[in-house]
Amino acid sequence: MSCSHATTTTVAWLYGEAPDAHALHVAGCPDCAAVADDHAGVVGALGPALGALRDAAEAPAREPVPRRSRWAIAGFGLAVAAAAALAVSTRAIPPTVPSGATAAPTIAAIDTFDAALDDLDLDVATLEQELQ
Amino acid sequence: MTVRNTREIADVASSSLDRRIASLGTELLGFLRRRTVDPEEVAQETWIRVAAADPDCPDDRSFRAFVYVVARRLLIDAARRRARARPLVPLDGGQHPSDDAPPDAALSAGQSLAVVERTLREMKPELAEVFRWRMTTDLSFKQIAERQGVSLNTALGRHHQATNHIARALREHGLWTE
Repeated sequence: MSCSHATTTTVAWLYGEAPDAHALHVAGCPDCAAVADDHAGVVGALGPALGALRDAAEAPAREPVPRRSRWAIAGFGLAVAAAAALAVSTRAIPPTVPSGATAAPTIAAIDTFDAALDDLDLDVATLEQELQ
Repeated sequence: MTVRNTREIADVASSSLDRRIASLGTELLGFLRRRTVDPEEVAQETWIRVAAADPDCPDDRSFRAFVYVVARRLLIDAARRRARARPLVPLDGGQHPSDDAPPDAALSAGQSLAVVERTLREMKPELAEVFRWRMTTDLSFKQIAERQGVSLNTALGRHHQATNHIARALREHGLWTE
């Protein structure tokens, strides 16, 4: 953004902390008008749910799921997949199975776990909001 | 200049403003209805502010831009007032529907809230903190800056960054009203 007011005076003005006269500048400045649009748009999208953010602001911050736990789960999945891969490799492999088949399920398992954890986080957040 | 002439000039100016306001009335109301549960109240306040400012806009296009900029600021004011007025104790087991909002608006707001909460958790804590405080409390940017031990401009910039992230996330999830 080239306008020096875009992330300072204009933001202050949007929340009633700069002179009303700044409105004329905002109306004529593409950068500042875009800032106004973004801020009003966020507020508009939240609508009546904006107040729910207040509870989070006042309550102790929820501890995020430690990355260590995620890796522990993924590691368990990796161990299971590796054990399965080992079991497959010790049996007679039919000539039709491709040579890279034992590696693919392991990587796919980790990706699947991570994606599932991300989806679960969003679901939990949605449920928490509904329960409040 | 005679009194009659100044009065005529004032009348002409007033009628020009009235004409411009009248030409945008319905359009502005439609814009506000998609963004707030109090469109009439925000529209009325917008016209009061515009009339009081009586901006020196050279043409209708710049006047329209001015009106919308004022309306956007008042949208933020109204939403923050409602957020602060919401009772802390839920009266009906946790639901906080607005009496004036249609059910689909409440559903959309809930979806937006989930996206916003997730985005706030993913961003730097100092950005999320400014956003939550400024949106839901009476703390000024100056007070927030003092709490965080940073300059006023830094606090303003943090709030803007947080809002930017959230706006992008809402657009990506199709929850943005153009």
